[in-house]
This record gives sequence, C-alpha cells and structure tokens, in this order.
Amino acid sequence: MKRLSRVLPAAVFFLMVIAGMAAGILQKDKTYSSAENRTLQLFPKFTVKRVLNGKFQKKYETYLSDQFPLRDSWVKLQTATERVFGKTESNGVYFGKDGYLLEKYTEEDIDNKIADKNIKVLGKFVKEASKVSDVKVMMVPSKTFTLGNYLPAFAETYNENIFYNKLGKKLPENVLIDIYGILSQHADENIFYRTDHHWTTQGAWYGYSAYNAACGIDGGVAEAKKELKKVSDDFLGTTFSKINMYSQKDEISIYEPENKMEVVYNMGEKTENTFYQTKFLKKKDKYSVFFGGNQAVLEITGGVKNNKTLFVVKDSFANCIIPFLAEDYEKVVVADMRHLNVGMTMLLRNYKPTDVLVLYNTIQFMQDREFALKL
Amino acid sequence: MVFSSLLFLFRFLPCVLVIYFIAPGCFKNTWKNLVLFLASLVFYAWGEPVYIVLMLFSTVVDYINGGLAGYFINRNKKNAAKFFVFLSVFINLSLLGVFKYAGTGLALPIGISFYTFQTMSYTIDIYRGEAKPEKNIINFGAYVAMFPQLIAGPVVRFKDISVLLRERSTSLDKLSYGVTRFTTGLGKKVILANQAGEIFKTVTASQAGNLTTLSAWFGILMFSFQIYFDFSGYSDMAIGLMAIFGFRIPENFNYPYMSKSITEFWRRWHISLGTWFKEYVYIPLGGSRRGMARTFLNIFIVWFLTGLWHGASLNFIAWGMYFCFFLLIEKLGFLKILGRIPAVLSHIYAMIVVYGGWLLFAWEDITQHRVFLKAMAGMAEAGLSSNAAMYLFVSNVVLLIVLIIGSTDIPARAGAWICNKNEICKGLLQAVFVAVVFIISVSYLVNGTYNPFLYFRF
Repeated sequence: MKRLSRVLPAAVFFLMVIAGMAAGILQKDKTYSSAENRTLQLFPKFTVKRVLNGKFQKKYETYLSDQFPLRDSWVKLQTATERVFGKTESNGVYFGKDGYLLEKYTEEDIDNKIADKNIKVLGKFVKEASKVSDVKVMMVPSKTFTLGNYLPAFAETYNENIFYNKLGKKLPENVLIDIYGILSQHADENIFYRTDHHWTTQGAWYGYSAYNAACGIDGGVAEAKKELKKVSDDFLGTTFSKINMYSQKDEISIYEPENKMEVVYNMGEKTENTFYQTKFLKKKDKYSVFFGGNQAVLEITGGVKNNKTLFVVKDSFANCIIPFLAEDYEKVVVADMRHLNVGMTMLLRNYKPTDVLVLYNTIQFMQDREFALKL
Repeated sequence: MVFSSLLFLFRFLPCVLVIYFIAPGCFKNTWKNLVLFLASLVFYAWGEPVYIVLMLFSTVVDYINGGLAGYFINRNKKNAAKFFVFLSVFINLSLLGVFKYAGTGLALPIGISFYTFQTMSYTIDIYRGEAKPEKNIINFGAYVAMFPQLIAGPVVRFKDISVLLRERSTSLDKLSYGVTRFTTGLGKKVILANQAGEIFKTVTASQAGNLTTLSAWFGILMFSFQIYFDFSGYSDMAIGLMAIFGFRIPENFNYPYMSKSITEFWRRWHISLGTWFKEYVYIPLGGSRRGMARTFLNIFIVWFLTGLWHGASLNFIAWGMYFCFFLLIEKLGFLKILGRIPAVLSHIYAMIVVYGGWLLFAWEDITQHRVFLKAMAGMAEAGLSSNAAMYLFVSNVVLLIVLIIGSTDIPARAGAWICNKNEICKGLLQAVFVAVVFIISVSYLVNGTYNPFLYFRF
C-alpha cells in the first residue's frame, strides 16, 4: 500500500500524457467544428523546406490544438474554471443576469471609418428613395446595449447612442425610428434570445408596432398580431456557441398570418407558401426557421390587395419581423445586400416600391464592410 | 518549443520518457545522455531549425576550450589554460553580443542567455580546478543543450551536475516528486501567470485616455505576479523534469515576495543567476575584501551586468541600477534598521521597492513609464477609477487572492502538514493534485492561444 501510494503520482501523470497522445493519434481527424463554426486544421503538408522555415511546426501545433480529443469538453472545463475564478465573461461574452449571455462590444470592435462610410451611403440611399417612396430606417440596438441592466456589475459595452446620433444627422426628419427607446422600455419581456444575438419574435413585434406608428398606421393593426406560437424550446444560439457551456435554453415563437401567402425565393429559385422552414428546428441553427436563413431576395405576395409594395433592405434581424409586415402589403420585397451583387438604387428602380424599410442591427451595420459598395 | 504546450505534453514528453527509460544505463549513462542530447536538439530546433547550428557550434567550441584548459591546467601551464578560458568567455559573450545586443534584427535564439552562461561556468570551473573536463562529448552536449533548463534556466553550473551525468539513479520517489513539481510549475504558468498576464495586457492596451489610477496600480500588480508565476513556474517545471531524469539541480526561487528587504529579495529571486554573478564576477573582482569603495564598485558592476543581462534596452539597466541603489543603502546600515522595525513594515518596504522595480521592468518604451507613473500618482486622464477599472478589479478579486496566497509558502506548508501525517495520504493527495492541476492546465492550453513565455526574450 505504501509502495503503491509512492508510485501513484508518477503513474497518474505518465498515464495522462501517454493516453492523451494515444487518443490523439488513434482518433480520426475532423475537418469541421460545428461548435466553433469553422474548419479545423488537418495534418500539415510535410516537406523539408517547410520544416526548415518553421511553417510545418506552426501548422502542426495548430493541428494538435484543433484536433485535440474531446476539444469541446476541454473548452467547457476551461470556461467553468474561469467562472470559479469569478470571471463574469468568457471569450467576449458576459454572463449577464437571468441567464442572458451578452456579447461584449468595445470601442476597438468598431471601425469608425467603416461605420461612418456606411452612414454616409445610407444617407444617400434614403435621399434617393425618398423621392418616390415613404422611407423608414430601423437600426435594432444590440442585445447588450438594450439589456444594459442585465450586465454584470461595472461591465461596459459600446454606447450605441453615438451611432444613433451620427446617423440621425444624416437622415431627413421622421425617417429614423427610435427603436432603442421602445425596446429598452420592454427589456424585461424576453425581447432578445438569452443565447443568441438576435431579437426574438416578441422583440420584432415591438419593432413592427413602432414601424406602424411611424407610418401613421392605427395601433390596432399591430395589437391584432400579438398572438405567437411557440415552435421550439431548446434553442442554443450564436452567443452560446462562443462559450459553449451550460446555458438556459431559449424558446422560439413565430407569428402565423391567417391567409396563405406566396414566397418566391431568390428570383424564382423556389416558391413556397410559408415563411417557416421547420426542418431547421431540428438543427443547431434554429434561427434559420425564418425563411431558411438569409436569402438574397424574397418576394412575398398575397397579403392584401392595396397596391402597396414594401421594399426591405436588411440583415438577419429582419427575418422575424417580415411575417408581421407581409400581411399589410400587396407585395413585400426583401433584399439582403450582403448576398447580392447589384446596388440598392437599382433594385429601387426595378420594384418601384411605395414604402422602403431599412432594417439592420446597429453593430452588424457598423461592421458591414460591403454596405458602402451596394448603393 | 515550450513546456506549456500540447505539443510538449502530449507528443514530445511521452516519446522522450519512453525512449529514455528504454535506453540502457550501461557505459555510465552514455545512452541515456545521448537520448537527452538528441531530444534537446529536437526541442531546440522546433521553433528555429537553423539555430541548431549555433547550438552544435557552442557545444563543440566549449568542449574543445574546456578540454584544452583542463589539459594545460594538468600540466601546470596556467597561462595557456587562461588563454582558452578567455577564448571561451570571448566566444560566448560574442554570441550574446551579436544576437542579443547588436540589434541586427536576427531572431534571438531561445535560451542563449542561459546556455552561454552555463558553458562559461564550465571552462572557468575547470581553470579553477573545481571541475574536471568532460571527455565524452555526448555527456557534455547533454549538459549544454539539456532541454528542461534550456529556455529559462535555472543556470546550472557544470560542477553541480557533472557527477550525476555519469552516475544517477531513478527511484519511484524521485519520479513522483518530479511529476508533482512539474505539474505545480505547469499550473503556476498556465493557470495563474497567463491570467495575470492577460489582465496586465488589458491594462496596457487600454488607450492612455482610459487609464485610471486604479487600473494602473492593479495592472503593475498583475505584472508582478505574472513575472513571478511565469518564471518560478518555469523553474519548477525544469527542476521537476530533471528529477524525473534523475538529476537534482539547485533551486531558483524561494518565495521572493515574502522578503523583508531587497537584500533578502535577491537571495530568493532567480537564485541561480545571482549565484553565477557572485561566483564569476563579484568574487573575482575582490568581493567585499578590498575595502568599502571597492566593494561598492563591485556591487555596482554586478548590478549593471545583471540589468544588462535582462535585455539590451535602457530600462533593464535602469532596473539593475535601481536595485543596486537599494542594496547599497541596505548595506550602509538600513538593513539593521529593517531588522529592528516590525516585520510588517519591513515587508511593506521591500514589496514597494520590488513593485517599483517591475514598473521599470515592464516596458522598454519610456513613454509607457511616464503614462503609468502619472496615472499611479493620481493624475490619470480618466480619473481615479472608472467602470472599466472597477470591472477589471472586481472580476479578478478571487484570482488576486489566489495569487497572493500562492506566492507565499502557505500552500507548501499546508501540503507538508497534511502529507507528514500519513505516507499513504501523501501519495494519494499528490496524485489527485497532479491529476486536477494537469487537467485544468490542459483545458487552458486547449482553449487559449495566449501562452507567451516572458523569459523568452532573455
């Protein structure tokens, strides 16, 4: 027994290093990590030249780390240890109150050059569009900024009012909708997913109601659409993926309009009569239940006969607000400029909409490197 | 290659251990030493394959110089022996000069500051008759390139391990001691030093306009802990690995942050370098035997060189001079006063001076010192504190407590207290400690790309 206890520490250590090596060699290499949403380093190319200049060694170390057995569990253990140390953030995510995981945005994350350029280009587009259409701009604030009260003590995040002020100066009056003001009043009503950066359908409903108010539409229209249907209660979104450890799961709800509408995907790629692709509810990326994720162009018809066309320029935040809007227009055209190689003004001339809505998330808009090219 | 990497822990180390223990111990460990020598070359070449030439050059040149110095000493031709000692010192210092101080833009070969000092001690010890030349070049190569201490020391003098190179044995106790010591160092480096370093980096990276008094003080405090846990953790790993291979090498740290004077601090911090300068610079210059003025000059020279050893930049020399100043004051009688006042006060004095030293040490760029000094004096542009500073402080309070306790002898005493009660309990406890610290360290390594070694640059 005494002898055993003397050998034990060494035995444990040797077992760990040798088992770790054996497991690493025996397991099959993976090409992709769904938890990290990236491709993994495979065994690097071995040539004498690459060894001499050190390239092989560098890649090999990345390879070992990427392919480390049970990699995801190790990452979880590390995050858990950090929590024990009292850290209230991990990998750029704050552990907020009430189960909210909040992305951390710092001033360094925002490239003011890009943001300013995008604001300028948006101003030009709005000016152009205003000649023929009724234009509104809705910049959905980030979850972190909106739910400031849920941040850990003393934690800070980028002040998005700086952006709103800059943008406001470049737009005509009554174009920019004060969605931050409205959402922050309803911060306690599950308007954002706890584990994903998007707003929930409840949040989007407030966006819809604010849009209607800005357009002078009677509040009753939005009130009538308050009824939502829960379709999932085990959603773990993008914010979760960054830390990949135990989190409170999210519910996804959808709004189902009464009459069936026709949705044409990407200029005729396919036609469906629903907004929802329920197969995504069984996958990891459940937010894609709305239209199967971001599509270049959606044309929705059959909502109502009123000769009105709404043109939406948007990012992923719009995906869950479209179902509310679709019923109010004869035609809704949804364009995701990040997936299109034509300019916004060109599409404007093509569709001749009566109404235009630009809907982005503030952070995504500020960081969009291509927006300025898509005038 | 560094110890705190998946590559080392799960490829290099298991392979070396298996081959080392399979290798026969006959011919006075020559085979085992060959394994260590070759493994060390691979270890060394991993990052900069070209510099393997440099390592082999050093090995051969010092082998010849040492051999010839020994040859002439035996024949009582002191001057001829002296020539080869000077040649060895000249070549080693030239290597250091070219790669470290000349600013040629060449990448600093890892560990060069350590192994050049080791090989200089070799020829000098032979000249002094304190060591015999190593005839077997494999043994000598193993000594020069020995991977456990290659990168960041301790600086092991040849006479400390020359006997063990030929005759050493492995025992279960040594193995268990070795792995426990290694794991302790790994945890200190990966879990504690890296976290502290990340906080320091955050504080440094925050633009001058955001630096507050609180974050400046806290940042330097974290740097003080980073450098201690980083460096002493590395020494622990080196000592542990050497124990696994049957060597016993001198300690390098002895809880320096418990010191009550600067004199004491330097007896507890980077002991092997202090010993080196004492043995090969201070004493040859006459030490304290040639009167007050000469003693002070000798101390000055040693501290100028100690500062210079840490880097070619001015701040390192200033750092050496800074400590020289306090050491001289203490020698002039302040040490006696420190002995009489309450221990708490002398401890506070020592820590404030050490803290100031790290402030000098932290950056090569003088503008950083200015910004931080201003902030620490309460004249920060962003005020005394801010939300960001409070956030940094509050979310790292637990870490701070662990760092403070971890830099004292409390954990070691607590461990010894439990272990002394029962032999079986000791083995179990060590095994659990090894498993837990190792596993958590690996989780940090898998997750983090943030894994720099501070003592790389020296």
